[in-house]
Amino acid sequence: MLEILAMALQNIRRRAMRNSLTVAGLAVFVMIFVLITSFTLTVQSEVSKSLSDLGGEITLWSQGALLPFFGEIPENYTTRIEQIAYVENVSPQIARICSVDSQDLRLVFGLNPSDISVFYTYTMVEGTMINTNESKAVLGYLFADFLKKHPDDSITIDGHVMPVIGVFKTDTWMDNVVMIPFAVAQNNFSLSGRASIIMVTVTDPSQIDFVVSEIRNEFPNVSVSKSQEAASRLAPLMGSISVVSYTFSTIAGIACFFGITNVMLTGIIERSKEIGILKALGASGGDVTRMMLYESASLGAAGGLLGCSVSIALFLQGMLIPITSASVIAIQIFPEVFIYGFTLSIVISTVAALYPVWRAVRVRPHEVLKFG
Amino acid sequence: MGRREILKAQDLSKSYRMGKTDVPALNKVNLEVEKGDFIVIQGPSGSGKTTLLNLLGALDHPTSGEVWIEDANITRQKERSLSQIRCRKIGFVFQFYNLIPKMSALDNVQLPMIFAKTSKKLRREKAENLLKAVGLEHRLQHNPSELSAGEQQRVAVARALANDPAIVLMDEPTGNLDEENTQNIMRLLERLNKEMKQTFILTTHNVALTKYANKVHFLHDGTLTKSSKNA
Repeated sequence: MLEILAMALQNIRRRAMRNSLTVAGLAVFVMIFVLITSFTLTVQSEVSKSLSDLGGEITLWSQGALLPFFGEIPENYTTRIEQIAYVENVSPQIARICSVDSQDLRLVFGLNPSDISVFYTYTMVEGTMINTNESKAVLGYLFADFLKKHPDDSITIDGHVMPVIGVFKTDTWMDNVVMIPFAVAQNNFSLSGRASIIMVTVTDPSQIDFVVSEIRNEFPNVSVSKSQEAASRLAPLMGSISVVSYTFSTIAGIACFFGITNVMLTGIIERSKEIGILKALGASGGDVTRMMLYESASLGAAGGLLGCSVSIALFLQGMLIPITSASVIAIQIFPEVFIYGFTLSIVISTVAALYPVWRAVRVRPHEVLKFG
Repeated sequence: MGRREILKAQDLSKSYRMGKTDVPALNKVNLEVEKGDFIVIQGPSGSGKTTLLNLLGALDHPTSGEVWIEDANITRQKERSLSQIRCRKIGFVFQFYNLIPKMSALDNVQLPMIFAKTSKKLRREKAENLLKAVGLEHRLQHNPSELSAGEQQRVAVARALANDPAIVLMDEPTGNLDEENTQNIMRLLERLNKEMKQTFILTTHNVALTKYANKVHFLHDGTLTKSSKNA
């Protein structure tokens, strides 16, 4: 078996240029797969993390909203939810994408001051947290750095000028947002009597399913989920991202598959005499099959290794996904994605070689050797 | 088969389908080969020499008739068994050498032994000895493109002997060589036949080569029409 493998490797070396190009094609496929899959998983992971960073154990949002933050539900639901057994805290919150100091697409959160410390863990970098319903704002430290704002400065949110009273840090994506009192957000964004989401905590974690069930019964037209499950509830957005991502990967894989089949078939035609010689010298169909599958699998392994290596190098250089003009998230490295990419490269190259191998096994020595 | 017979062909026929017509290539050929024979089958182009060797060498299937090699009826074997027979019992030498390009002479000679699962050490040792026997001990690491036509054919002869085959089939082995190299190759085969008792069947259109054989057959229009014995 080792001898056949050695012959396969020797065959690869004998056609160095063509096989290098095949390996490069496989590497590109692996890179596309790794980058797209990592991008998708990073987005899903970040959204999931963002929802859990919001705090609370149960989240309500408008059914059918593209993202939970940007729907609208009546604020007075809070009163009815507070009456459900085991409910501890209920917090209506508003999230809006606004223009902040001429920076478009900034996320502004409106929260009741008393809910902030209940639902979020933060430290103050400068100044104080909002503690009244006055028109004042606090900034996540990353956004504050970007705007070069400090307490006693002011910012303009959708035309409303507000003093900055503090800068906070959460070590989450919320470090890129602006926080203002819930009542001010309702007023400024014309959302009187409405909220984007309602967060709920319970007194007894073992009763969370009961509370979710009660809320669903009470409000059948609202999406309700435990915070940990929220990301999975983000269909169709996450589903759409996944479908687009995997479609690209699949197209790349199919292109690669046919490319390798074509290269191998061309190789079979060119090497039919050589295969005929081997068979005349006693090579069995199994020997020819093994030799050619080892060749294609080796090319797949080389392409997989190269693709994974280049992808890792790109990740280490910092592959960033821009969220807004000032904030980005780094694409995360998921080891399993590299393992899948490497394995896929071998599988595609091997499967793509099956038909050419079948053709090779059927080469009849007396026909290809007849004319020298 | 007799005690010394190592190959026997009985009523061997082969025809090829050309459109709706069957074109006969061999017609009821009978041949008996004993160990140590040096048989030359002489015939003009198109007489069926290559077809006959393909059938004797288990490279093709006859339309009718049977071939035995050392008591094994190779016309009734499956492809897997045939590859084993080709590997262990038959050596081939072709007109155009058919060495694997970009493989050294040493590697080319080792090839049949790889398929016979010979150990690496024994393989190399034997290949070196065979190349020495054909006078190419100084060309072990040369690729075919770095060898003359005569040297390439000598590598092919060494390769054919790699697995100690019962019989070596040679299809016009000197057909691509000049007179000097033809003489060299034929003297080499003669020596191997005498020293190693190696059995050879050689096809050629060159009547002059019949002098090296101990048995001569003539093939014409697919029929072995006449045979003679030199020794």
